[in-house]
Amino acid sequence: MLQSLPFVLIGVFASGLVQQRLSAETLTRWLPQRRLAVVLLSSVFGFVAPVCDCGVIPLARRLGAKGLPAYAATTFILAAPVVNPVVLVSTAFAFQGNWAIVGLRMAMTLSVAIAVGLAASTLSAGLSSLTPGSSVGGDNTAAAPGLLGLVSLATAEFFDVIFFIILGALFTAAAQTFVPRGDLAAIGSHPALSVLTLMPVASVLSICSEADAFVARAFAATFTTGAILAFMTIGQIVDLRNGFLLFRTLRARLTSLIVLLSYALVFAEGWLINVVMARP
Amino acid sequence: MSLVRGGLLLGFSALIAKLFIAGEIVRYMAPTLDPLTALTGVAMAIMGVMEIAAGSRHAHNHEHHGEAIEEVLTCVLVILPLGLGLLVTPRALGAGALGGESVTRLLLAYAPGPPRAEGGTPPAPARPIADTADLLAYLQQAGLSGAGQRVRATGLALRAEGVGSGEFALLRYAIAHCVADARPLALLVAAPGDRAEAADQWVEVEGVLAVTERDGSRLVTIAAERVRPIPEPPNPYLSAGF
Repeated sequence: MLQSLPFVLIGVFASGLVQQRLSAETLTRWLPQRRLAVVLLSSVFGFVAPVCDCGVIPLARRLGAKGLPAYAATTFILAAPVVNPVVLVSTAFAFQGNWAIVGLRMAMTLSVAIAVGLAASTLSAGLSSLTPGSSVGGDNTAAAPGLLGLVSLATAEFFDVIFFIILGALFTAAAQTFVPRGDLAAIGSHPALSVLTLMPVASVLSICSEADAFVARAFAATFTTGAILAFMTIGQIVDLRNGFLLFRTLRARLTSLIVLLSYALVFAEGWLINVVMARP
Repeated sequence: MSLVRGGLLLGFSALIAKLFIAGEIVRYMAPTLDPLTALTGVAMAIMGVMEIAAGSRHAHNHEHHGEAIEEVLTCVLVILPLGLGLLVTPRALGAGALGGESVTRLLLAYAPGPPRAEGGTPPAPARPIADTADLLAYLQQAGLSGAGQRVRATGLALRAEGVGSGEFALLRYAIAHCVADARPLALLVAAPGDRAEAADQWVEVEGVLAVTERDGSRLVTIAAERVRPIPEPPNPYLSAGF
């Protein structure tokens, strides 16, 4: 947990800066007309709004309230926690400058986010990202300008995410202490089972995207590369912590689509990476 | 609630300061992260002070019932590690952290290669071999041809299944960033007649590099001439570069 704190701080300050300086109206005005272009743009929107998975849903809800289509909000929710400079740098840092891991992580996340976004665009074209009757209450983007306002926003976001970071750290510590490494090592070298094992672990641990690479790094000695990448990808898309909020924000059908399609795609990609890497 | 939040932020800052002042930070993190961690402590102190100042200006800030419960839950969960961190002196990872992993699988082996010509002398180390990190650097430099070199190493003495009588494993953990990514490694020590050390006892071994053929591997072995118990070193972890 101590090690993730600097990155969490960078994330909450960056997020506060974007929330303070950029209005949702301006951002949505930049959206193109074609669905594919909207999905592609939404998938890389994290470079403009570098929010972690803890902050992405509130921001997407606000953008949805401004008229952003549901499929675009979905793509943004799935991609932004990983496809943003803060998380990519922290991943490179955790994996000691292994840019292949960084690139593969980004590629896996983008592919899943774009696929789910396109599927969602046919299922829910024109829908608002908010379910009927719900509202974007408690809009905490309004803050005093300048440094005071920025620190206030960053502090608010910090306390929104720290609960889950500590919970994730407790889960991880318990798993590392009580799960025999010998058993994990036996599963961890299998190209398919290793991926299938770490994916639900990532969903349960629900670790912040700014810190999950450091946890994944601890598994690197025991698990396959595909499993590590699947852990870092699915953990930011389907997780216990955001699952309730996701279900509350998007329609049940859209949430089900995200869960099923993401799990299938991430497993297939993780397994494929293992098969390709195993070749002489 | 701002006062509580500010207090918690100052608590994080105090925890980081305590770890640095007491020299305990090395039991959690790699020294390379010290500047970033220190900066985080300073930033959190500033955030804490500003949050408390904001709280005193807006003392009548009403929150919804649900939000208040979430805030209380967050505070309780934050106080737990903060309190433990401030009150408890952390211990370095010991043999218990192996989690059932077989010690024999951790023993370092020489990379495949031709042995040194008979009668030759081992290559001179680039730097004096005063500890395990120096020894590992020397092994990377010299490989099998280093057999015969006088060495000194420290670590946790570990007698385990698969390690013969008159032998023990010298266990160390290497970390990249923090103890969450700790990776164990061990050196075989041949110390005939040496008394059994207590569990998790740090020892210093002086001797000569040797080779032990076992199960098709050529294990790096220290033929010990002297083994003595020592206190835990200031930094118990090796860099993950090994």
